[in-house]
Amino acid sequence: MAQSNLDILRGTLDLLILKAVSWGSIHGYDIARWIEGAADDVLRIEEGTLYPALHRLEAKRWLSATWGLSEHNRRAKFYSLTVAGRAQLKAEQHNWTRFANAVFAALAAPRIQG
Amino acid sequence: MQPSDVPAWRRLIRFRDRDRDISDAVDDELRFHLEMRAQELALRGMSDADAHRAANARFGNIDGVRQACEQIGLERARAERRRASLVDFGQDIAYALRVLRRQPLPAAIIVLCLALGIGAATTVFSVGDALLLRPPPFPNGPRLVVIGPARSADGRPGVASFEDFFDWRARQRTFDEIGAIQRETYAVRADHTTRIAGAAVTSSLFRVLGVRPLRGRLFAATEDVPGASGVAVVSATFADRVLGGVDRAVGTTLRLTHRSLEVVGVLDAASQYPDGVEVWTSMPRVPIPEERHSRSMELIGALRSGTTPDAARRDLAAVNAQLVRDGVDLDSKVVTAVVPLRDRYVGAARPAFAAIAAAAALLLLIACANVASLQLARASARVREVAVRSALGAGRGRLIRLLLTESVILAIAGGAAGVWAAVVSTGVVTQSIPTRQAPWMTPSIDLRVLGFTLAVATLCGLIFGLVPALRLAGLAPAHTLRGGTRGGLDPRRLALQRGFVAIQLAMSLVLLVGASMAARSFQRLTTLDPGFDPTGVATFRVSLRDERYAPAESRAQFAEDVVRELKALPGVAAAAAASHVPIADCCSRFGLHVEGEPRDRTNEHLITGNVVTPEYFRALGIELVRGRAFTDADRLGAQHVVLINERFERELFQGSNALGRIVHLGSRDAVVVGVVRDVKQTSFTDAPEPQLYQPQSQVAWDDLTFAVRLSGGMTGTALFEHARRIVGRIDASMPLYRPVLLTDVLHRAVTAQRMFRTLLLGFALIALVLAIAGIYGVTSYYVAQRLPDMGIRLALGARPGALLSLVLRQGATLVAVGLAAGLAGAAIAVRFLSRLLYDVRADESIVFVSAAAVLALTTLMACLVPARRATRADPMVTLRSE
Repeated sequence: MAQSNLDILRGTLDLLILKAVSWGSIHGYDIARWIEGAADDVLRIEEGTLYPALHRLEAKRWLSATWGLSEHNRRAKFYSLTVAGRAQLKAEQHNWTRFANAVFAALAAPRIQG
Repeated sequence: MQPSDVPAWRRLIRFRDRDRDISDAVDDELRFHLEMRAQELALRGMSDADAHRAANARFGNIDGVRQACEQIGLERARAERRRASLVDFGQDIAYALRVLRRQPLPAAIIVLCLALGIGAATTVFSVGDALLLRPPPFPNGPRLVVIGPARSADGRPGVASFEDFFDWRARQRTFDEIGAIQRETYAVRADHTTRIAGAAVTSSLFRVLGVRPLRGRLFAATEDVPGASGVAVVSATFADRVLGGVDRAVGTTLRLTHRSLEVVGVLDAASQYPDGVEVWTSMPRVPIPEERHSRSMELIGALRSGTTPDAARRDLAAVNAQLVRDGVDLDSKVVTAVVPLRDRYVGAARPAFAAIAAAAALLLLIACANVASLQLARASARVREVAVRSALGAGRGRLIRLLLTESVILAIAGGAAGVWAAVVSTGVVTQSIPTRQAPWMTPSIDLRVLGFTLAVATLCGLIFGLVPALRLAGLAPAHTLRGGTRGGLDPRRLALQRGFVAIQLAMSLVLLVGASMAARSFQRLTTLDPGFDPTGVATFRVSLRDERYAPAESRAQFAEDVVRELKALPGVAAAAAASHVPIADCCSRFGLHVEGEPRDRTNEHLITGNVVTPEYFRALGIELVRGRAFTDADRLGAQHVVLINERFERELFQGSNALGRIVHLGSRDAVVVGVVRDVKQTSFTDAPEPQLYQPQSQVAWDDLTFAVRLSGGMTGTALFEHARRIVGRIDASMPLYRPVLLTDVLHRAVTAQRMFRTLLLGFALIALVLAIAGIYGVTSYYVAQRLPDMGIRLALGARPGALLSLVLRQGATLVAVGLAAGLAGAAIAVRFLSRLLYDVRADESIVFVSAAAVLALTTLMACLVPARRATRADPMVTLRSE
């Protein structure tokens, strides 16, 4: 079960990150915690994999990053969504919903006739 | 003016610094996550150590993540650097173009200099390669030599006798093969009779060249022997034109006037030798001792590989000595010369080409010097601009790139223009080369040469763009902006620039003097009195080499008939036939003794002679000094008569009156009946030599040139039409050929000299323009630098004249230095040139003085423009800007 969760997550991690960042400037640790909480522990990830994904999105200019101070006055790297990133989030969210609906529909379909 | 204080090695490792920044940031970010997680776990009651361990475990492979993040960061940085440099590059180009457009004149001059230098040098060296270096295109090309008797061992080989050829070929040890060529013209009977260039050749000729037939076969050794039936080889063009195509030519019968030959082979255009020959006939012949002194064969040999012409010359000298020991009657005054085939075409042109090449090289150097000094001037004028950019944050590397981009653009533009110039001028030069060059000597642009000159010129532009760029970029902006250097560079830079201009002036003077010498020589050459008047004289040829004209009477009669009918035409002032017409075709020599001399071989004089009809002297405008011209009474059977020129009388009769004296011409004793003026017979540059004239009615020459003096309305073309009809009426099988106006012949005779003069003059003119541009540039710069200074001086009451003379003085110093060096160089160059040029001496000081004067005047004028600017300097501007 855990294995398949991870596989799904690998494709959707980018989407979750974009979503996490969409409410405003946020650092990596808070993103990890949001994914943990929001996905009900079903989507348990190795936290480390979050960072290459963040950096890739930054390189694609969907995220922008600045160094700032955390709530505990510590230096942290904050990510926020760029205009391009917001468009990307919208597109991927749409795709994901269509994909999921298609899968649901397929699972609910009657068996093949003779 | 300190250089920037970051040492070079620090700048080199800056990229590594950036890389370290990236990994530090990744570390910070990951550490923050781990510590936050550990803190959270600790708050839930774990011990610090456990919390850290748990945080690390939840995180997963820390090192792997760190590496992945670093990799992404590095790649991103690299992509950004690339994008940034591309943007910079585009900006650099846009900026450079803007700068160049704002100051188009120096940029245009630099491009022009590069174009001229590259164009001239490439053209001259390409042409030189074609004319002097490329071996003849035959398979044995590099080994081919021309063999023949000459007056000295390094002389030009003349024609040899068949007997010479036979003995040399049999006894030599240094040749693979020797071939003999007897040039002929053949009247070919097809639709209508035409006369074409041909040659009777030994079968060995084709082995000498190493050529293969395009169709059929070449001659066999058995066809060199009398009794063998005559056969012919034709050129591909001839086969196409006359025999109905290359494929149908072999086996056909070639009908010449007096014989028919079977065509056995066809040669392609590349295998043609001698040039222009269209029909080769076999030469069945054996040596006849009495004919040894009858020379008419061109000999060509293929040296054994590894043998030099010198060795071959020694070999043949040994053969000659052996022949003399064997009792053969050889002319002791004649040596046997062996020279490479190529030299036969260009022997005389070689030193002239060296001079042109030197001139072109000078021009390239002048252009480079000019580019260098202009680049320096451009850079100097921009100190302030660079300082501003630097102060606004442009990095040193960026500044250098910015300045270098301009140089690169200039170099590329100049290079492209140079290539274009080279292509155009090579075409022009090729067209103006005298037509008797072999087709394989046609020059084409030599890519190696073009590459070399391109590299030299563009490198020059780049280097002298880069050097000041490096210096400029190193200036401390604050220092410059405070006005400490008043927008200038150090004085050494100015000295360098002035040095370039002085060198350029010197080289320009050398070119000017050389070109003036060539022009003077050419002018003397074309205005000298040739002893005859070529204006309005039309000539054409008819050859009577045919068995129907074997009797001397028939040849004399033919000439007489044609001349009589020509004279009957309206618009013909005089008409004559001759064996040779001056300049148009060279001469025959006759062995003779004059009255009272012992009549043996050692006392024999070889005298240039001409066989003419009575009106020859009138037709050519040759003045009769004493006695009479020939008349119709001087017939075969009457007393043999001759005319001589003044030189003959002076040399052979020691200046005493020659009229009535006897000249012994072999078995004929002829009386001198008249003395005429000396005529330039072979070429304009002939030294005057004794000349002899004999009447056609008594000697009956067979290869005739008719000369007609036109008057009142008759054109050359019209005359040739009439003449063709007249000749056709008298003998339809004898075609008229080579119709030409004597003035055209003369014009063509000095083509080489004209080209030499024109090229040198062109180069000198370009050099002059470059020199003016150069000194204008350096003076403008000088004035621009001193302008504030001058403004203040003016404000303090200096007279404008004083400032003017101040500026002119610095220009004059430059000119004086340049001219002094130039005069020294010109003296050397002219000593070499005077050997190439007709009738000039190395010490014609008037040329030196006037060339120097022209250069001094024009360059000082060029200084005057910026100098006047100095006198208008406004002190207020100065005070405001300081």
